[in-house]
Amino acid sequence: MKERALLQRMRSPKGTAGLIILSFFTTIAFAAPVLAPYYPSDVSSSPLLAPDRDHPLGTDDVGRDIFSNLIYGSRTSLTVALVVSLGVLVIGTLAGVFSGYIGGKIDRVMMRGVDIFLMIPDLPLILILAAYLRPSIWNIIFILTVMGWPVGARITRAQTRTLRVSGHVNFARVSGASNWCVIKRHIIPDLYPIMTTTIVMQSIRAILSESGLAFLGLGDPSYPSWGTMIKYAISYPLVFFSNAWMWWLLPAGICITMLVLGFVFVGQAMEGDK
Amino acid sequence: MNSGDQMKLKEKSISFLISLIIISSMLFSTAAGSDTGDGQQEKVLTISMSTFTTLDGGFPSPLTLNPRGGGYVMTSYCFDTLVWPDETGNFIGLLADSWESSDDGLVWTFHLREGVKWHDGEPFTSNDVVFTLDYIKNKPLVTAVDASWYNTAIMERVEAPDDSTVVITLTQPYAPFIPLVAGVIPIMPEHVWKDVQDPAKYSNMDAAIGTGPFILEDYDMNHKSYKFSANEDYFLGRPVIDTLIHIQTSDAVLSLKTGEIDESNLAFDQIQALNGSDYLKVISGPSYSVYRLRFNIPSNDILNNTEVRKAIYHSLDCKDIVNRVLHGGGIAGNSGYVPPYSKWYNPNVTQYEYDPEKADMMLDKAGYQQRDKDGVRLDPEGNRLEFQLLYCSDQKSQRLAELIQIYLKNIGISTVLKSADMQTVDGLVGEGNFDLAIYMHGTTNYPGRMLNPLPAITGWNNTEFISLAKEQIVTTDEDERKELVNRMQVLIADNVPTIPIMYKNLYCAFNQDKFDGYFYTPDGIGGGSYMEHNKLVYIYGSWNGETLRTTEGGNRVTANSIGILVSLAIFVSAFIFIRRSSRRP
Amino acid sequence: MDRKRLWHIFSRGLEYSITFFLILIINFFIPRTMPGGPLLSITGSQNADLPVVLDEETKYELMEYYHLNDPLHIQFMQYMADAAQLDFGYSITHNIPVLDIILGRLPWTILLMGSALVFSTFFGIALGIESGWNRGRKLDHALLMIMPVLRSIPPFFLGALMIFVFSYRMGWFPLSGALTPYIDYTGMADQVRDIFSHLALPMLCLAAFEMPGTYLLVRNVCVQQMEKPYVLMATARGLKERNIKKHVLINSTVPVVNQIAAMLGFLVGGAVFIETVFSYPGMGMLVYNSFIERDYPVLQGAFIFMSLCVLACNYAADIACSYIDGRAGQE
Repeated sequence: MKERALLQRMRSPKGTAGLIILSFFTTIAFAAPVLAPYYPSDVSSSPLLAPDRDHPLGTDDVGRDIFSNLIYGSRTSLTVALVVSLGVLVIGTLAGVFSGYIGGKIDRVMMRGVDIFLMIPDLPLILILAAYLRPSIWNIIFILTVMGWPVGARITRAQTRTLRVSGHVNFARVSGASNWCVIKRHIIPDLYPIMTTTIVMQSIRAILSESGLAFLGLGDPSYPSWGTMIKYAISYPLVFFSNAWMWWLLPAGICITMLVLGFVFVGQAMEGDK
Repeated sequence: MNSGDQMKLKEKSISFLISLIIISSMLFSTAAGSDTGDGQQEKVLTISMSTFTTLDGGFPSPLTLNPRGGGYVMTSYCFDTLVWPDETGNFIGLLADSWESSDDGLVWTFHLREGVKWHDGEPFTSNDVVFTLDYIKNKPLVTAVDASWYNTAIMERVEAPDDSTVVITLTQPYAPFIPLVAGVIPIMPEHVWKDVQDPAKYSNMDAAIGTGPFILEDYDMNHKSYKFSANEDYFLGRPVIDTLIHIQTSDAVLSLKTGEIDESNLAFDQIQALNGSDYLKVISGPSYSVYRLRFNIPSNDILNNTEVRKAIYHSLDCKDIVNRVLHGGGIAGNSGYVPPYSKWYNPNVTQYEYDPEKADMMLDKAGYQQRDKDGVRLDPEGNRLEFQLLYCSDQKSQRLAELIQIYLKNIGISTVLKSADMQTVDGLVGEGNFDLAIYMHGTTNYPGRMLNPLPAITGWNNTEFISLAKEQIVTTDEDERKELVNRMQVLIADNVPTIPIMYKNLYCAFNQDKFDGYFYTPDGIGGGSYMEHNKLVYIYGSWNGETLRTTEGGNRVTANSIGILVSLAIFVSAFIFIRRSSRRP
Repeated sequence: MDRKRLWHIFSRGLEYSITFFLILIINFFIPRTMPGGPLLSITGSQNADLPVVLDEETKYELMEYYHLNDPLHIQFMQYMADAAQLDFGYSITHNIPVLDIILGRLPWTILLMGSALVFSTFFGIALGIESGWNRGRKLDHALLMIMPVLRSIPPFFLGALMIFVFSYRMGWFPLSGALTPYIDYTGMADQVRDIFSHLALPMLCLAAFEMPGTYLLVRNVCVQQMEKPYVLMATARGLKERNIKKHVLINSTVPVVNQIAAMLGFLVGGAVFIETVFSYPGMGMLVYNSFIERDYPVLQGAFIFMSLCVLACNYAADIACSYIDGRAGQE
């Protein structure tokens, strides 16, 4: 029944728009080798070409095809979004359900720990950690997951607390079902809406953080990333004096914005906005 | 009650709007009023070191400057050395009038200039020179400059037989004594510094008192800006400008065009953006800055093989790399490490032209003829020939790394790119924790600084090279020394301890209608700082005074910004108020 | 009631102190385990102007001078004792006390973040109420489209676009920095104008980054309140729109204050990007630069200071909320 409600909500204009955007980028990510005329690291062309038939968006300062990099960039963003959100979901849900279900002192201690985590200004810390672990896509994913799970845990725990005292869970417990069984049968399914919200929120956060770190020069250089493209475009001294900004800077920025917007729309649709 | 309330609301909203308009018009009017300047023209020159945007030169005292942010230039405005290079690269006397050395090159006698005064009016004497050299020598090494720029270890003792003579005795003959010691160490006033225990932490305004052509007015660490005023009593003559300002700008081209700055050093790409501005004059110079590929010679068995390094050299098309990375703003590297424009350049060394087939053959011969299914070579044990390529995360190095990766792939060597910030790269290389690394650094046109450190910065320990290096530094005969340096280059080219991929050129542009006379000092100032900011420029240059170039009028236009902001605020607030009052239930 | 509130304030304070202590510990260990080490910042890098070759003895001397040879626990004790006096040591690149550097940067960040916060809160609330009140109408729809877009644009990209449009093309605003160095101001107004023209773009950028959150929150509160019986009653009774909005405003104060407090840490992150893009000399730029230069003492000091500010603001918000709304004081 819950799933049906969710589907209903997704049919709203916002939900539809969001889903269309997301499936668009997912398709691009999967079909990247077919769509992209060049391999992203191919530097066989002349640098700084304006768009023409061979290079729909021209080439960058070492002669890589911008269009191909843009297409492959969606893979990086989506991978980071997917892995980070799943990681946060798993850790956050486990911690949240555990803490909320057990209750008592353990719950209080855990939630205080989560609170502490939540209050540390994360970007300066991410900056330090990212440099310490050296730029690699897995390290970025690791850092974002570590910094993100407390948010997931907090929401899940609150919901678990509510569910725990609700009728059907109580009934199941009184009827002698094991704890694990209760959690699996009665609590986890009721957490689905919250889980989807967590995935959406964490994806947004992951995409923005990944591109931000790449922009600051902490990204993984061996994967094409939209943030890195913006960084290079801006540091090319002529980008604002010629038309290069139109095909170099703008597309990458628009891609990040659109992808995030897709998630935001889906998130809002799930919360019932039309 | 209803209508009364409405009236009140309307009144309130109207009065709010009016007050906003009044405030904004006030801001507009003050902006307009600020345009009228006063009559007298002060000769102010504003310049920027745009290639150092994130760095800061530090407080301009000889012991607090930050050499990486161009701090030596700032210090040289306030402080003089005994001698100083002019436009031709020859050394003229600043604090010294004349100087001579004994035949064995061990004893140097400097006859000081008479009548020189410190900025605070105290007379300058030979005691200050003795004090400075002893002070720097005896203090623990606490700053970067101290450790790397001031070579005081070479001095055995410094004496002052009278008020205007200084005698310096060296521990051993030192060929580049004038350019690297006498022309580098700024002389500090004894009466200011004699009680300072920790010079690295001494940054009162007093610490900038020198004898130089400019007096420090202000240094703002947060905005990384400096303001100097002319030293009226400067012994070479008063500077032709009254005020010299160094500021940071995020886009030097735009700032030059709007007249916000009058001079800036630029990257080659930026020069292209200047076209159409005839009043901006561009000069260029050699930087002796090298982009090179470093090998982990001591601990990587494969790269320890000279044949492999030669093969890698043959696989790289350095000319193509220069075009792609610097877009033409540099020249391809020379296998002897010394750039072709140097007077020490030896053309008769082994050359490694771009020849991937030859490289393939050499690698086959070295025992790496087996390849796996991806075309990557295998060593005799069947391991892939795969190296980690470490580089600094700045744009040029990154681009260079990407290109090297492609070239090496051509000859069956796989590379894994790994970028980090400058310090991390240094740390990893220092620990020997790398295979290949890309380095970009300056060198100087002094063999002692350009070639002698090579074993330390490549990990290549060649006893013949080291003994040649030791010999050339104490050889005072120029021809003999040139011969030794030639032999060093032959050794480098034969052994390929590192691959110099390219040398970058330097460019700067300035508003010649306002001030003219910039030049690149041939061997650099301060023993190898290749900047156009030789302080003599401001004494011998010419002030042309075309100050107000209001083509695009930087500041004047920005005056509107507050108006725009306020208008925006008014618009939005008005919108809200109007909506509010228009929809009555 | 009062005792309860005092207890609440006290226990929250204790919690914040523990958090701060943990931050101090994290802050101590992380930079020390980074490769490269602080010595390279002192001697300059081989990638810099001139390659520096140091012998072991000199290296040791330098390490000794900066107390980097001591055992870790002694370094830590020293660090805690110094931190208690807000003494974060000397900057390695600037050779002046870290506190001086931070105090030099802090006003700019407070100006930037403060004005952005005021701006975004004011317009966030105003637009949120308007939107909620006109639920389902054109204005509401338009805002509901614009706000998510604002939220989705990465701050550094928005900053770059703003610089391009308003500084390069229009020439309305200066490119970067916080003021024009060494110009002779004709008066107070001139100076204010100069500072504000530098502030405008980064402030708008940061505000755009923060506003959607406030807007959505206020709009939701507004929509909820409007469905409450008393509002329906009031409307039916012909009560003025303004009074009802006032009511909504009061009701949204607590969540908005809480939300702003929660956003602060996030806002600091946004400020790092925006200050980097605009070269605005605030704390964010300081963190980024000292990170690039590996100026450990500054990096540590700045991180602690930022955390302290965020915690203090959170604490203040907590207390404020418990006064505004008594219920928050009870679990």
